Amino acid sequence: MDAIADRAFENVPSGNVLKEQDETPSLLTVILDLNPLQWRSLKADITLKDISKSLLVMLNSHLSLNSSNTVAVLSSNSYKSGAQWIYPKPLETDDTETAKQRSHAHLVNPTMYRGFRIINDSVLEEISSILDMEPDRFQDIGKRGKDDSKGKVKGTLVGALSMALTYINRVQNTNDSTSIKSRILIVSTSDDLTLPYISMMNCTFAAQKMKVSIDVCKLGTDSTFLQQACDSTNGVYMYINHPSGLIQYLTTALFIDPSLRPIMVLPTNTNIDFRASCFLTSKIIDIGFVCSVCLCILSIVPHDEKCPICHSQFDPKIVKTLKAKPRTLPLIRKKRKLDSGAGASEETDTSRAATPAK
Amino acid sequence: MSAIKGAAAYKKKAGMLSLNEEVIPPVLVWRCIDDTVAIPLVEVQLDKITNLKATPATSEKMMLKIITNDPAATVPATPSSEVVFSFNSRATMEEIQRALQQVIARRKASLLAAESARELSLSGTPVPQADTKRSQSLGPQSGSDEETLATLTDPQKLLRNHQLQQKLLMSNKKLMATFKEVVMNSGLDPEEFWSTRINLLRSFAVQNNQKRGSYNVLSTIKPVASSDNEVNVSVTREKIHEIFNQYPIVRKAYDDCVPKISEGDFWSRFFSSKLFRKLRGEKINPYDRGDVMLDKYLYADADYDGEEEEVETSPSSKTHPTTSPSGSPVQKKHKSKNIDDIHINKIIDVMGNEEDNSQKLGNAPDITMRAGKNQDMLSIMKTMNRLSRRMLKSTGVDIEEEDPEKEEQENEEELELNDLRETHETEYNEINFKVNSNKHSDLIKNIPKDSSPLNPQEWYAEFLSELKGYFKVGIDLQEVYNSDEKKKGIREASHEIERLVRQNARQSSHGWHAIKFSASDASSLSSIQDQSVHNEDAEVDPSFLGLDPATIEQLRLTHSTSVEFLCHFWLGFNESATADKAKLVQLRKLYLSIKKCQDRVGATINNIEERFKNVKNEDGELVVAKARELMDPLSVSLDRAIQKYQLAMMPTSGNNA
Repeated sequence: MDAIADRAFENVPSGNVLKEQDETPSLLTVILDLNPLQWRSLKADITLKDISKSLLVMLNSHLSLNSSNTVAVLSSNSYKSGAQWIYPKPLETDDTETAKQRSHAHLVNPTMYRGFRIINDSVLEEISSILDMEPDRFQDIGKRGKDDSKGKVKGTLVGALSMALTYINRVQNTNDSTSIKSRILIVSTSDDLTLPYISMMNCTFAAQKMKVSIDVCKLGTDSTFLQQACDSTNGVYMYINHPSGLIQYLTTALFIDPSLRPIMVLPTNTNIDFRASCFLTSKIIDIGFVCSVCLCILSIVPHDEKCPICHSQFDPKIVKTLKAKPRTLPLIRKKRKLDSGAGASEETDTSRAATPAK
Repeated sequence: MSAIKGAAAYKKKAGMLSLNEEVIPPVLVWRCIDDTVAIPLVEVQLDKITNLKATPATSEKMMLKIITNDPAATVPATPSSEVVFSFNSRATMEEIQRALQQVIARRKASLLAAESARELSLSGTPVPQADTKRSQSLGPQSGSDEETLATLTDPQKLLRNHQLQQKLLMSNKKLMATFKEVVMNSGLDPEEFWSTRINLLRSFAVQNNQKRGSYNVLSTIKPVASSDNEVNVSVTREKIHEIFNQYPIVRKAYDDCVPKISEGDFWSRFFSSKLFRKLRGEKINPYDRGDVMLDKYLYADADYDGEEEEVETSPSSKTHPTTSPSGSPVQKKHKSKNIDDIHINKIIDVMGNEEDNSQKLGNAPDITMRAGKNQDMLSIMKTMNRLSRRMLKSTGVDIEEEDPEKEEQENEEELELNDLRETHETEYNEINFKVNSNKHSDLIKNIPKDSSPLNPQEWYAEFLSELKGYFKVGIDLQEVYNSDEKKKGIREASHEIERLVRQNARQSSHGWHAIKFSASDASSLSSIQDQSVHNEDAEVDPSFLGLDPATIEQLRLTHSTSVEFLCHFWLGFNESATADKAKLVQLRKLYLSIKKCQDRVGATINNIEERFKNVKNEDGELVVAKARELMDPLSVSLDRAIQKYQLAMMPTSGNNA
């Protein structure tokens, strides 16, 4: 590996930094996007199988760095089950049969180090069972017992994100003796239209407060909301240009320990689109209106002059001024010097200037 | 202490030599011990002395020769008009010599002053002090002193106050450059320019109007020792005024002494006196001669406030007697307004008794309470405290008169127990949210369009069964990096990551972080602060993006003028629905200016291109590309403004310009 010529490390004021943080264990939480349709479109570049393998290697390497390191894996965006825990599996009243069945499946190399093997096996089994539950036919998507959402399935990435955050919060509060640092890695294939803006921003701010960094491994299309999330939590947003080298991305750029983050120059995408989306129309806008009570962003003035979120009535006078169309005077056409210059530009301003202001 | 005495011999007769400065003019008297001698007394009037000669320090004899001007003054008259004293001890001789030198110097100086006064009095100019130098004034700045804050910050007045605007422009270079470019070269209305900068004008006006507070003048007066045994001190009229304000004692001394001795003399005496040193807060050297006249005021009431009442003389009165040189028998009672003078009975004096707790600091009382010791330190402390009290009073800040009722009320409230009271719950306004945020996140609707065939129903089932089959079979983790294709991918990925890191590192070195981390711990804070303080005036980093400062400056100028115009354009545009005709005309003018701005941006880029054509191909192109990149956002916003305006124009006029 050739050495990086420019500094990859920023100068640290004095030596204390590294000493304290050497031994802190860290928790890596992975959120895997299982949207089948998206995976279909990416089939040429990368399959779900490949990414699971790379993920497992990454999990193993994370566990090997420190004996107290832990991992957690969630799935999101699957049609039937939404956001689900993959590892650690929450205790359920499991059928003993299925439990036995699971314990016998050896999906990975049986001679692998036991600690890794257990985790890998259980992750793969769980993903498999989630996929098993997906509807087989296209028509069946979106049909749950009640026919309320016809063919509509909500995106659950944010749901998985909040589950991860609550888990992290629990882990951090129960481990009194050791201070454990956490980070989240989102492997996402879907784009912004599946992300509800408000919930996404809420999760981002929560992660910011908890000092949990969110890294994003993006396949498919770029997503502005995820970029913003990475930026505000000091995470790495990586758009994968070379999917066959995915393991390289996962084990270097997206692998940075929370204790190293203040020191390292992060290989993140710095051209961030900071635009927000309107709460009403969910278009992405850069100039808009803001409700002064609940601070919601609107791209148009609502018809009923009420804020859609907090239902506060807007002042009709101000609404009128906002809705009013701008008036202009027509430009003076410079007539040639055929007629005398004095009389040229005095034209019918007065008649035309009276455009009705709505 | 005011009279210097020493044993000396005159004409081989032993006697006592003493310097009497209380008489005017000061006199050197030699009295013979031996009464039987013919010449009992020799008096030399010190204002007539012209020369003083002393034997050098190395010789055995110690003699002092005094030569006077007026032979008739000495008694008895000696033809040579000189008197010679011989001393036994060198120390005495040197002391007397020093004193005489001082007197002579003073006299010479006052002579000079008198002469110059005679010269200048014809022309009518005020007499400069004996050793004065014109220096900066201390007092409040001249100018619009009477303006209250409200009148200062009135926006209308600020807009009209061209003088103030000029001053502000002079002091702020960047603003001046923008102003020149925008108003003078491109024709923006100056009133428009200032209308968005009212806050700058306001703060500048307030800043200018601030006066410097009074401070201890005496600490600024530093005697400078010059040649000829003279000590020069510079005072101006203003400083003298301040001295009188801050030290009423000096004023009193001045009032008493000046009719008799000249002003120059008074001041030179004052600055060499012990009174001066005491007021300054320096320790009084007991061996220092000081000044006879002025040191009387050392013992005067230091709390003297400048107000006096004349009281009938009565020997039993408790007032401080002061003997003024005129020796008037009137005893004056000094009225002082200090807190300490309100007499409180020691039994009920709670505050005093609290302070008097000897157990506070061990068994010994506080240093200020020890009798007899630390007099010097104490006097210095007292002087300083007195001065500070006086200065604070003179600032004229209103200290509210303590309304005794109000005070009592406050005290009562403090004593009440509030813990058992019911706490006030803060009331919050409830905002009812309707969470419909997930309405728009639909996974199915947003099927990526590049999936072929278009109709998902066909391939869906097939694909899904494939998916489900993935994890039924064992997997080999080594496949992650085994194949050649994977290796190639890995290499490419690592290159990309490196590139990103390098780019980010370079960017961060231009930014704020580099400064934060490049200094050591101790100075890092200061460097951050410096950076934030000097942000506005910071010079552009010459190596910024590889462009030279001239280009940067050009680009910056174009940029700031365009931004200025855009600012005013949008302000006008957004209000145009309700604006009157004049504003609309202005708006139109701004629109034309915006068009010109765009042209200007293009011209600048072309200019840069021209300039860098000669440079080596790569570099030149790089520079031009960078410049274009820098100006890109600006052109976008200019375009948008033009578009919006044209859109608004469409319905009214069929023919656009």
